[in-house]
Amino acid sequence: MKAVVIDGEPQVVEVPMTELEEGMLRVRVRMAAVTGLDLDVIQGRLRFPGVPGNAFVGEVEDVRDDRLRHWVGKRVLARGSYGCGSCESCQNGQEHLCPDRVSPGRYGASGGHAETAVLPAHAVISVPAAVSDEQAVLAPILASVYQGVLRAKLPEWTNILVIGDGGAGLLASIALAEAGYTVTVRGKHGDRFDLLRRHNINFNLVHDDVEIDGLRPGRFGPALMSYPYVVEASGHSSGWNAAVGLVAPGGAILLMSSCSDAIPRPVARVQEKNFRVLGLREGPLEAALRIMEQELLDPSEVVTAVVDFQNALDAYRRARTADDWLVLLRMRD
Amino acid sequence: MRSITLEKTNRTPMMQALVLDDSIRLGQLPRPEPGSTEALVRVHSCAISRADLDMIAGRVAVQVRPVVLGHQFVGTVESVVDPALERWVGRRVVARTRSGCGRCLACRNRQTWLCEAGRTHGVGMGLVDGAFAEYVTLPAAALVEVPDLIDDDEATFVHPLAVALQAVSQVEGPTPQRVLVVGDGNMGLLVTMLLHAAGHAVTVFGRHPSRRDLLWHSGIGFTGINESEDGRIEVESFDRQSYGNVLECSGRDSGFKLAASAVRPRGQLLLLSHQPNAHAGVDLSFLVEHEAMLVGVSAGPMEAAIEYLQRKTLDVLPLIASRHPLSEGVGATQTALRRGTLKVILENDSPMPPRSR
Repeated sequence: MKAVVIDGEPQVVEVPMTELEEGMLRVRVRMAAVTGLDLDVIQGRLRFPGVPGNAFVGEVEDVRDDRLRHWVGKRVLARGSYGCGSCESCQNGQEHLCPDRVSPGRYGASGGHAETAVLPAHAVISVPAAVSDEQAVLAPILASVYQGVLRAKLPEWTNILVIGDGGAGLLASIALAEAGYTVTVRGKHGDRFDLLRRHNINFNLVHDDVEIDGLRPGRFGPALMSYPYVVEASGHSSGWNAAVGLVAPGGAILLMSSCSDAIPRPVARVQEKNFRVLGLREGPLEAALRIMEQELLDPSEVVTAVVDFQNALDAYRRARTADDWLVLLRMRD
Repeated sequence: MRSITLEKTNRTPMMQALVLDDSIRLGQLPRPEPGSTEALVRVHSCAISRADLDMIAGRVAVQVRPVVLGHQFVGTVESVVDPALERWVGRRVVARTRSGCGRCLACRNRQTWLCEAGRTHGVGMGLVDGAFAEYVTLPAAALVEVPDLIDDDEATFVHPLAVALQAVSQVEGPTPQRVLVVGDGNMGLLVTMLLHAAGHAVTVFGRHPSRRDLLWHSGIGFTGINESEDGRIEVESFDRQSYGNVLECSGRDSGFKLAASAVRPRGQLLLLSHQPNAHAGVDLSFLVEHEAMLVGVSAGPMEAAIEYLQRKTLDVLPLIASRHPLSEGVGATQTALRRGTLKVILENDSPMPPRSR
């Protein structure tokens, strides 16, 4: 089968199919996202010498044992990670926090930037018919936003600032706006304006890396603007600094960025300003899929490019630039 | 903003004060005069806090020099200008460093301890003269009365106790549970005692083996840590990723790393210590990887601390390392700067002046 392999540089090559072991499903990949998390692997910031692709949708093609036969032919979405099934986290239904977890395309197993992927049955979730492939591959990003809403105990009607106008930032802001929050996006790209306006989202365009700490309350009284909740979805240290500067004392920063590159983030202000920082990784995919099934939200409007898998390297290039918001890979029609 | 005039005149009464200029020294300053909304307080005693030491040692910038530091004080209101504030005269008081700007979100929510404006503008925080002196003036809005049940020594603990109580109130999960405290300085020991009093099973990671006995008497576990020359830390025994609540009180990068590695998935790291070195940045990837939470705590409501002290459930006096007269303040700061020293208190030793009226 064809697959992207990271060996220094990513390349599309012919590789042998992974053997189908007991309890595993072979998924014929239909569509995969190129997320920030994937770019960490593709660009080598997170060392993973295998097939990238953490978020993908496909059809179950084959199983080894009969008790899983009912999966064959089903359209499924891969979970971001799966656990051992027996530890405390797994027993609590939080497989993604299992110490021995596997994250396809990231850690422990091949991902979905390939024609097929092999996953255990508990690592997939079936996709409702009303949800398209384009929508389903974005469910993981929505799900982590919903997890943030729940864990930060966001009150109704609060003001939220989303930092970063890349794919994750746009999806987060739309999800929060549609949930009834007052959302402002802080970003660098004016072409997002129309999309955000459709969702009643304020857009705060920054031209350069304005030194936000200059705005912090000092001699001149309280900060000009502050937000009780800030979603950091940029993944840059300038985004972190802006979040720290703009979060209200006693507020919370929801850290959505892929942190695998471990950019240094100063924490002195966290203490001085008495706020919280919550890390978000994976959320309830079921909830995200249900919301899309009920047509309450269509995340696919954030997708600006669907690239054929043969041109995966081109897709990666486009995902890195600011011109495209979110790039998907299509494996077959 | 008041500035310090060093020239002596015969008119203004002078007072002794510990002045931070290029270094810390004892000086004679004119006694401050209260403004219309302010009160003049005669200082009884003032503790040397971690924030003071950071400024004295140059780890944290001071906004003006020369300046008088000191905010963890207790004193008696000597005089006021506004007759409406007359009721304060003769009262024994402590003061909020953050009296609140009255305009920001936190102030409007009546959480003045969160007001950012006060953090740098508070008395003794490096801009406005503080209480390492015989007298200090401060806004009447910042005053908090101390009940008679609380003595002067205890009253100097109101500030750190407010922070510690705020942190303990944010500990999540069941009681009792295993809680880890990293750092065995004043703040570390204070939260340890509070957590212990709340019923939790506390383990302290610290670098001062002498604390082992102090804690052992209360049945609190102490684990020694050693820092090698290349900055690596060694811990006697340590369960990684196993604590739902970790309180970082060491104020060191190595302590933060240790605390971060002890937080279990979905757990939280409470950051109580100021991290003067952390402006360069630390690796927060554990927050996303383990969906953990980082909670900054640098202030809390002082009323809660006063109420707690009044209940006498906690004896803070063993945390006092030494008391020094204000006239020996320079030596006292040297003592306090020595690693492992607990609370050092400066006492105003000048004779009470006759009440002028």
